[in-house]
Amino acid sequence: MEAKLSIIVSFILGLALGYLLLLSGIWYLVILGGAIVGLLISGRWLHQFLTLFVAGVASTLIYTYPLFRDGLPKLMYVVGVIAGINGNILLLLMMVISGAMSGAGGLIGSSIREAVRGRGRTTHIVGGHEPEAHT
Amino acid sequence: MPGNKGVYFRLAAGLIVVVLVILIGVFTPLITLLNPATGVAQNAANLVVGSHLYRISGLIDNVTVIQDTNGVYHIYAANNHDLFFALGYIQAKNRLFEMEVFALTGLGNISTMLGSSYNSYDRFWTMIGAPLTAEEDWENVLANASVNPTDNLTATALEAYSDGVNAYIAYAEAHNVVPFEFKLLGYKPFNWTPVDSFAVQELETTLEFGDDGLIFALLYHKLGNATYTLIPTFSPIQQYYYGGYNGPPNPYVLAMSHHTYPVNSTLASMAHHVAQVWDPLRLSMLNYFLNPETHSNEWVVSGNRTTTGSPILVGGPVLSFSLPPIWFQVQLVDPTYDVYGVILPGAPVVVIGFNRYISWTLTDTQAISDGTYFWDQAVENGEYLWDGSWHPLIHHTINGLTVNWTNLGPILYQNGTNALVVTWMGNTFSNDIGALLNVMKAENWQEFRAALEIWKAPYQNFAFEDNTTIADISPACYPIFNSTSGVPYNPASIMPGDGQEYISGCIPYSMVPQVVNPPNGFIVSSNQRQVGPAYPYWFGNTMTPSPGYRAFMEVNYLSTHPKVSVQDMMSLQGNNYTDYEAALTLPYIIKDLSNTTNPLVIQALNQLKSWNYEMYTNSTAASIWFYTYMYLFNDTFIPYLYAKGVLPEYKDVIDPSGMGGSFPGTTGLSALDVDLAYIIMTGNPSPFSNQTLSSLLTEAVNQAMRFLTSQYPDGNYTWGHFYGFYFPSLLGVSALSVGPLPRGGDYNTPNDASGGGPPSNWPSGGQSWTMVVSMANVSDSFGVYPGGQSENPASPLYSNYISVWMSGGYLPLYFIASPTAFPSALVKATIILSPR
Repeated sequence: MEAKLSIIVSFILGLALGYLLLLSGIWYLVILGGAIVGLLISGRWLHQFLTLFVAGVASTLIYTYPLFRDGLPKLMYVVGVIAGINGNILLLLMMVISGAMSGAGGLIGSSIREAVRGRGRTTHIVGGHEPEAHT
Repeated sequence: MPGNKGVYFRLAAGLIVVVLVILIGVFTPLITLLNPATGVAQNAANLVVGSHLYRISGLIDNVTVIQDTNGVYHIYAANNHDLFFALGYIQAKNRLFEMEVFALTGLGNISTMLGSSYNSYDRFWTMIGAPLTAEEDWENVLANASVNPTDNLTATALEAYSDGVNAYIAYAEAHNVVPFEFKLLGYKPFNWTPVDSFAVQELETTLEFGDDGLIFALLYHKLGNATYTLIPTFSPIQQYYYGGYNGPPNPYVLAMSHHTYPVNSTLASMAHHVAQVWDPLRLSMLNYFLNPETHSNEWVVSGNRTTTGSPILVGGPVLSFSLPPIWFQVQLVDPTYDVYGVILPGAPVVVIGFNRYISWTLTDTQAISDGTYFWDQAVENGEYLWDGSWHPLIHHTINGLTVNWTNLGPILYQNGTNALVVTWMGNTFSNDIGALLNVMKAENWQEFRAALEIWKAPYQNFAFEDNTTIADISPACYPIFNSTSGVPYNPASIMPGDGQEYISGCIPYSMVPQVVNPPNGFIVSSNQRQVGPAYPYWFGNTMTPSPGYRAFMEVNYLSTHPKVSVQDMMSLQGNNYTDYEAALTLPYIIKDLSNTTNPLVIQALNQLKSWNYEMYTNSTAASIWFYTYMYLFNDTFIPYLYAKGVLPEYKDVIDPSGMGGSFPGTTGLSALDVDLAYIIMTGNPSPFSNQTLSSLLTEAVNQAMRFLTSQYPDGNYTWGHFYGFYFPSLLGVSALSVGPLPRGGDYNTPNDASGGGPPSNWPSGGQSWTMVVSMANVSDSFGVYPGGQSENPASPLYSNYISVWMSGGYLPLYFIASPTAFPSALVKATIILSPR
């Protein structure tokens, strides 16, 4: 139950931070968003990575949702034709890169948290699951 | 510590992913392009057509812009400044990438955007002088603005327009909607200046810009005086000269045209070298105008010959196609202007259009050597020889390239002390923008004619109508050549550049080709020669661009239709596919072959005898005519050119085929199309062939039939399999291009363009803007161009006009005086530009 809660909170926080940081225009900041969540929320590293990956993808989807209505797929098709890449692959790449940045940030954040606090001495803000010790 | 190992491993894994992403961002444009907030995705926001309020610094008052249901913008401003500012803003919003491509091309700097593969193009364009002239034109306008009202108006318009473009660039950068092409190329849009507008004008000047003089010199080198038979000064076929001067040739002009400066091997080698550089320019996708194989139509009919009782004007400039197209449709309204028409990307003037009082359109003039004149001048030790004394060369360093000029123009090539120099009329100061700004507000023929007096280049025919007047004029600075030693040398070839021959001035404005209210009640100026042989000034030869058949077909139609309607005119322009050369010569061909026993020829004649000369897509006779003509052309001229040594030596610059070079990889020489018709009509192929015409015809028909049946053994070789149109994207990406699409017509029909055969050789040019304006009610005018208002291929307004154009149809041109008068059913969006 606590693990589920940890995943949900990580996802919501990752999504919100991802979206806000996308607004800055500096895409790389999504890494920071993931790292912050990773630092704050404990959880299994794989869960953390996957959750924040999905949060990164979701924040980008939400961010670009109005653009989808405006004709983003057609535009990406055109850009893809010029660039020599399928437009859907370009869209997919955009999502994957967002997810990878967010997930990698989460991985870094949680690793730093663990390294700093030491094994078994983590203060759980949410959750309370002992992560890698049981894996 | 095993647990710590895992932590560090995961930390390292996370860091590796981050580093990887950063490396992708550093070494590829992927991160920049795909950034959801600033990358290409944001350009989707610009696809939305909707009402919007923009607060902009630099405006004086509110400007209302209505986009009608056809996508056309109607700009309503309270003053000149705001009108042109808003035009700049709106045009940049739709065409910024195209505008900057145009300007960079005109400035000889396109390689900075599109890469080093355009270096040679830039070098040539810089060498010819266009970037220098663009700057000098603007300096001239500024210098005279305080004393010359036209220059003052030009400066106001260009500065406001530039500010408007730059206001949009600032907006686009702030909102990450800079056209995605810039993002893909990693190129930041430059701020627009009036010089860029003049650079676009320089590009337009390539409407008259060619190497005819060099080609003529090469022919003369091999053929001597026989060149005058191959390239006659005056057409031996009957022509329609709208400016008059029918009658026997002026002896002085004829003597001058047959007095060509000797072309020795050195000079021929220099001419060949320059032509080799020059000719490929025609093939560049950047040459919207420089396409001598496509032509234009215009005619105007007086009120006593129309069903409405008021004049009707028809315009159809034939230019190279592109997506986005070169035209952008607008209505401009302020206290000075209320004008509708098409403008070029980057030049804030209606080139072809109408206002409440007048309407006008343009075509290329015939003859007069492309506005380029070549000279053989001595150059040594940094000096050129002129009139017996040496003068220092003038050095211009532009785009990092130093170009040497003599008094005659830029040096194109130097071999020892021999220099090949060009005088290009495009380098003459000509405030075409100012002229058009005055045309746009003219209310009658007098004002229209007066406005064009400052137009020096390119050589254009301007058809005109108002309520009571039809007229045509070809304003320009046409050089008058003089000589210190008798009859001047032929300006259609290379001339001596030592001072013995010189340009003494321009043909006076009162004497340039023109006509007002001719008694026959119509005027046609569709690239045919404007003035007849009796014209007292040298005016070129028959070399390019048109043999005149198309104009004659239009004249024939108008002569035989005493009352025409707007619908008739649309039909003549959009759906008439009569090949007048076929109408003229086919009866002779049929007669000549009437006794044939050759089964293939009989089969062909059976179809041709019942053919109505219409190049319809479903006609098999049209295909037989086309290929018969083309093979006859080849069999007549090509062996001759080989026998005389023109071929194969100059094959890279002289490789003609019929109908303006309609076979793949060939070029056109309209004089040869004139010659061939004359041969058919007289039955005498001499001096080009020793065979009889019957023999040549039999062989040509056989070749045509063998070819057609090899392509379509079932006999279904309809013309639609061999002719149609292709609309290439600006960046040459085939997936963003449209076509090839079959449509009727050929080189000799109103919707004319060279090409045919495999779809890869179908024309990518044609009537770039078709317009029909009746003075009975200018609000009930019609027009269309193949393309759309938006340059974004993802936009529904990218190519939406093409289907209309392909069907020969038209769209109504909504000419509405104020935003409040605009019917809501016709409004697609309303944009308010408001001062910040």
